[in-house]
Amino acid sequence: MIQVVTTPIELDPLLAADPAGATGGVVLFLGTVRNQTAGRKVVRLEYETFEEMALNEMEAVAEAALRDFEIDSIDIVHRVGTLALGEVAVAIVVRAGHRKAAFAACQFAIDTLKQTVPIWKKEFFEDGSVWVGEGA
Amino acid sequence: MRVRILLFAALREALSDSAVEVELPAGCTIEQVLTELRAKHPVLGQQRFATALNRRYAEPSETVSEGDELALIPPVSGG
Repeated sequence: MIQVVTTPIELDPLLAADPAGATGGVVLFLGTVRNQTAGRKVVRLEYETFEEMALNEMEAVAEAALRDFEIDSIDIVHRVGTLALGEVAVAIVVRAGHRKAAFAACQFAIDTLKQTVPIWKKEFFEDGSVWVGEGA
Repeated sequence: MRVRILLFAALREALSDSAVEVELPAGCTIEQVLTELRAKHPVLGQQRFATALNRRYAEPSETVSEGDELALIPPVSGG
């Protein structure tokens, strides 16, 4: 499952049991909204996307993970719009016969997503806002 | 040809628009589109961005055709 959603990410469907029982390990990564950046208090985040291209790039991340790691499946769901503190912005679920490949593939997927998928985060502070990634 | 350029995030805010258009001879490169665009919108000169042609990352040397969709991709920050 590769999705961009505008409502809270539902984890139950992502974590439903594999009826065939081939999976030996499931790794779940959740990226959540942090309450501060470099000591500055964050009050909310807004995510914007170029959705059609984001889906292409998320598919490419999943294809690379399936090609380069011994995993059975990978699901990536990213939420966009306004998110409150603590809410889930991205969920990645990797299933594999063995845990080592699942952990490695999940790490690869989130690292690559953060570099390639056209999604932008705007942090809102009590006294202003900034697009993350600008001037970095 | 008329080229439509999509803008996002900081670039969308800098130009106060989610898309702009430029008129150029057929067969020009992305780099030539960007040169025209920077002349029209000098604020772009201070911005960093990658480019995407038809929803795939593309190099400045690639050729743009009539009807293509070009997008400016500021540094991404998903996750």
